[in-house]
Amino acid sequence: MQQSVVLKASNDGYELIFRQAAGFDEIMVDLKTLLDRLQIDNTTDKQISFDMSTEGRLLTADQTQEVTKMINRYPLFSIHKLTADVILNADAMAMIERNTVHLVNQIIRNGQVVTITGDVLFFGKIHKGGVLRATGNIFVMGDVAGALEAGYPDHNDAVIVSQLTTVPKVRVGELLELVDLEKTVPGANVVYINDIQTLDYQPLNQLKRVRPKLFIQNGGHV
Amino acid sequence: MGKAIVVTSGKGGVGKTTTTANLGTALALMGKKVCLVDLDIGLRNLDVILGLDNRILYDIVDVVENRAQLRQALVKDKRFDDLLYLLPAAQNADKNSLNPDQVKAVVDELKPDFDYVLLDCPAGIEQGFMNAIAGADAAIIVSTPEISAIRDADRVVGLLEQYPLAEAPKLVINRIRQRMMQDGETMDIDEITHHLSIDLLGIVFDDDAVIRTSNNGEPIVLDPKNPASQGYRNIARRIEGETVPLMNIETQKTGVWSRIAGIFHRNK
Repeated sequence: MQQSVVLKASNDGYELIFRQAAGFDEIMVDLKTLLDRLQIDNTTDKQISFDMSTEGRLLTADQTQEVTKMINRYPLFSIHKLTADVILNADAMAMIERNTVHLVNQIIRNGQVVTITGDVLFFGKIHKGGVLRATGNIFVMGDVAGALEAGYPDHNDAVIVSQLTTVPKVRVGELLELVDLEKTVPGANVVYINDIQTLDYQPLNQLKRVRPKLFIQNGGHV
Repeated sequence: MGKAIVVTSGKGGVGKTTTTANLGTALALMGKKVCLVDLDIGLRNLDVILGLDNRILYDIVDVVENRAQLRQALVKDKRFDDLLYLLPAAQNADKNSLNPDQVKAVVDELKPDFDYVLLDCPAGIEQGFMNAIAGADAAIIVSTPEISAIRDADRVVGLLEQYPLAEAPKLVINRIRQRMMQDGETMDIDEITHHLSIDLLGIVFDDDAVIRTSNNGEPIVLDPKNPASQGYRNIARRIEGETVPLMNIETQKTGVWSRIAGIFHRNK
């Protein structure tokens, strides 16, 4: 019969794999047997740190605690990391949300705050008193007479790309300021936090220089 | 089943109550059965403009607190057979005397008996506003061509998007002073409509007679020749689904505008 817990050795150390098809109780029994034998076989007093994989199974908090407790009973064993090949739908959705450039085409009216998780490509209109807030970057193609807040609340490496002639207020990460047209450039501006931690304005053609990572991310995942 | 329309604006003093009174009267003149509901609790005015202030026995707070039947509280406007009624606001209570569910219940009780229930919303966006939109199927946003009124109207449209009614809100631009608009001293109708991005229901010119008639308890709309009255009458017809050419900007700037200007000169 196939074992529910498999021990593998690699250059990086030992890996424990909990078979997906096995029940958790079965795994705990087999894990104990395996660790007992390993302890007896282990003639040195070298610490062994396990990489553990639960394959297509997510352990609950209780189960993780149970496994941790079991390992901790053996003074020479410890857990290096506990991973799974799967994640929760909610986490996956959040990840997609974070890494997507959201196309937004709406009117943001006086008093409205539209909050987006991730980056925004904005085609709509922001009226005076409206706020477009994104956890990521903001790229504006529409008309803005309200405030733009990128990297909300504290992602200081975010940027805003927009014309600023009618924009009264910008915020990037933790820094916000009233737009001073003398500091801006004609046409589309890149608003970002520079090396000395102040808001800075550059022409659009400097975007790649200012935030090279932006283009690596958007070109495909590493 | 009638339709409940809330008349709102955000900003005070733009003519919500005057608009409610005049649209209600105009609809009654067209033979529709209308009930006007004053929701400006504590600061009631609608009764005064309609000249019904001496005939109030009970009010809406009496109704929701079961001190009176809805029928007892309705004040009939004797000028219009059996067509125009007012449900007055309470004078000795505040806006927290009502909650949205209560207002909705009252409006739902009125709707089967009337073609239109017009709700006069208080200024502001607090409890009174929430009460007023609770029972409504549609909204009329009143704004003047002033930037402050437009900004508040924008805020209200945003709030109505948050609590959507069956129909999208429509705009009435009130108190238009043609000369100022023609000279570019105020935003023009196109600019305002475009800025707010909602449909324009109609425009009403500023006219001394509006105040004069209000003071006498006779809505301006009773005078068929007055330009403000025509504005209200056109709006009423559009509410009824008629296609009335909007006293639109281009024509006004050329033909109609000068004609109207002529009327003003005659009045002076």
